[in-house]
Amino acid sequence: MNALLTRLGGLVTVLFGISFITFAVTHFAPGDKALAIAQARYPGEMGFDAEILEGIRDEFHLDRPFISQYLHWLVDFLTGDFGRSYSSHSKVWDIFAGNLEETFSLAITALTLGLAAAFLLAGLAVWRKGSLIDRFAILLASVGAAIPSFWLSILLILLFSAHLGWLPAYGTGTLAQLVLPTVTLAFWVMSSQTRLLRSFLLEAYDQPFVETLRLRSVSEREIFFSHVLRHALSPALTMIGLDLAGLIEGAVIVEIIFARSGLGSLLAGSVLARDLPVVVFLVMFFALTYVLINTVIDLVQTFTDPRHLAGERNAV
Amino acid sequence: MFFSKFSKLSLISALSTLAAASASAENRAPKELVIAAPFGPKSSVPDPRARQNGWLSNRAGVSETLIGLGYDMSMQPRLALSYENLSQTQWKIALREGVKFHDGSVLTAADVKDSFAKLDAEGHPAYNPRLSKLLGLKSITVEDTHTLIFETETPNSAFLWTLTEPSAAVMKDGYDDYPLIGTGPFVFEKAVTEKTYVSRGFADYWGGAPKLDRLVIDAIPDGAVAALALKSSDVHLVSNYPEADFAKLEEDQAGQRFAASTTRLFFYQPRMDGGPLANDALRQAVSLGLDRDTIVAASLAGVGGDVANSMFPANMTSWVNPHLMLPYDPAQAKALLDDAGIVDNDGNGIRELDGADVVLKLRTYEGRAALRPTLEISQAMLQQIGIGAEISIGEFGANNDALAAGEIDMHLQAWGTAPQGDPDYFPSTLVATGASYNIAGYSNPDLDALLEQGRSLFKTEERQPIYAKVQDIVNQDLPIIPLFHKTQVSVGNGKVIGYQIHPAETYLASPELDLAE
Repeated sequence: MNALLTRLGGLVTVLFGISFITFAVTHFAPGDKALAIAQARYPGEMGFDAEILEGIRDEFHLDRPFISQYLHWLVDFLTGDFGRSYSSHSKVWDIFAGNLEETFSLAITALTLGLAAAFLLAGLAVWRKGSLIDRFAILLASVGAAIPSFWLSILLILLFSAHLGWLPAYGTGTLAQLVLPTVTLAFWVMSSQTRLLRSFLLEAYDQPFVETLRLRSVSEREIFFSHVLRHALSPALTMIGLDLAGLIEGAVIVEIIFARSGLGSLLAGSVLARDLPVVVFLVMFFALTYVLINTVIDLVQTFTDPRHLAGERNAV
Repeated sequence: MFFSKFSKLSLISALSTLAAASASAENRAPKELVIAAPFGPKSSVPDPRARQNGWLSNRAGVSETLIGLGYDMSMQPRLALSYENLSQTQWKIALREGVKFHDGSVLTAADVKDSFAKLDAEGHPAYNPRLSKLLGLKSITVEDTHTLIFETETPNSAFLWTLTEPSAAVMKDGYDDYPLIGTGPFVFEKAVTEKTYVSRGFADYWGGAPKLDRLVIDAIPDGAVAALALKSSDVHLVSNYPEADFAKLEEDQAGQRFAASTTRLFFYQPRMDGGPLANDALRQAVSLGLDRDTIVAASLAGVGGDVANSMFPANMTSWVNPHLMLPYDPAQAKALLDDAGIVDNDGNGIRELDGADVVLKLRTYEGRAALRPTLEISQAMLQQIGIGAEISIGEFGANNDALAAGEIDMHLQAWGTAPQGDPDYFPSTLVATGASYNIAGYSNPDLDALLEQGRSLFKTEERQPIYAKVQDIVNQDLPIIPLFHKTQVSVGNGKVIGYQIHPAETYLASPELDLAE
């Protein structure tokens, strides 16, 4: 219970700090904020009448001191009023909700596919350590880690859309349009997780309990599935959690290249348009996602791993 | 008996032929043109009158303005058949007859008045204080079903030009079946924020039924992906094709290529009320030392820009002063500097002015791909004539502040010089004494007098010589140093018919736009 409260307290503090820093960065960014808002509202226009800029200053209380503006924003934020987009005037929440599903479905599909491939490859690599399969897994993981997502995306479009004509090059909404972005992200997940899983599994195989189990004539299959895999899952869970958080952000590049709806392309578009209410909200959301996933993983490990429980008891 | 059998067979055969023909007509695949564009709609129901939504709906042929802009940037009748200046503040506008809205209702003068009234209705999706301010309307009077009198608060020679702005669209309030009701050749179907804008042909369009059944404008921000989407036949036309790839197509004489200059000008704004560039000779030398051809070749693959000889592009025939030149002449630049005593005394390769090395601080901002390379190339070119340059990237507004404070010497920018076709907008905003974006502190009473005179005249032929002179003065004094006008390059799949690039980049769809079988 103490651990839970400590974690939640930390979470609130981190989020408060992030909100302050994010707001301060946007507030103290160089240039006239009223002009930036006007340019977000009327993209392509450079010059604005002084009266228009004055109206914007009044509308957004830009003449108030920083702390007053921050507290005003914070109260609105905490009461669920996330503001409106400068460029479309739509509610930030509506824009966010309209894009969440696309990113979420892409991230989950990529994570599932990537993890399945990683488990298979890492399992085979450990099963036949030093074999061709093992070397192939290591090579694939290294190459995958070195290939940037944007390059792989273009390569996949070139092959499967432009040359073979099998899949659409861009877009959102159909299953076919989900394939190439999913493969791009899944490849990244597979690469990072294969490397890690392989080392976690090998580390687990080196534990003395494995030898004990063998001496007790437990089958290799049972040792792997019932003991080694379970042992390796604990550290893997942390990395998978971070990958999930990373995937939501990694979607930025993939969504832009494949011209998909989603939080990634929304963030990039909002930054370019200097649509600050949307940018601030998304930064808060991504921070919350990271912190929440980390907290959940820590808590799961705390309550499932006997060593963590023992550590906590010793600490108390 | 035989005859009867024969008749029956003939009848069956004729009926079958008719049925087949009818089925063939019904089953004809709808003609759908898919265009890849770099930007998408800002909301799911983007009212053309609000913000810059009109830009896309005007391109998509959904909304129309009273007056249009031709491909030479001259005014053209659109929903208004004629327009007459009654006094310095009054305009009589006669509407085209037989124009129908997309819901089938007929356009009347009352509809136009109602549409413009929404610009001031705070909370209405069409609310647009910026356009309202530009129009400066005092009243709109409906004289009869097809005639209106617009009255402005003050004399405003740009009034008719402002009516060409896509936000000045004439729209009816939408409802479920027709969320946006315009008068254009295409009916709004749906929009997905930043992704797609879909419209269908409007058979009752006053200019004739469009040849296309459907028009889809998909936002694909990455030019390389858009080019691949064209290759994979996912789209039929890429409106903003990557310049380097376009140059390759030009070289190979391949692809269905379209290119035209736009009014978007890339230029330097030098600081003139202090610092080294207050020196006229140095400013002239900077302009002479910039090889605009090389800048276009290096930053836009030689196809993405047209060298600027004035603030207006050469294809803006209604206003450009065709006699002006901004030559590249490094020898003359050096001679000019030598004559002005700006010479390299200490032999470090940099000339000195008032005992100090001339090292200009140049800055630009992110947002347009050609800005950064232009800045880098300029640095190298200035070095060739003995002028040092430090380059940096900032934020547009912050760069203006830095220019005003004397922290930088030149600000590289890109502006649409005539977004509504009116030649007064750009000089009056950037170079008139005390103008809001005359950050450089430039002042020339002769130029101010010309601009004032230009604003007080209402006939194009009377204004033309004035703005020609304005361009001449600007080229001599160089309160802005024009570099190049952005050229838009598009590529089709070889079957696109009736497509033309507009200098204002605000027109695209027309009834003639078609896709060959």
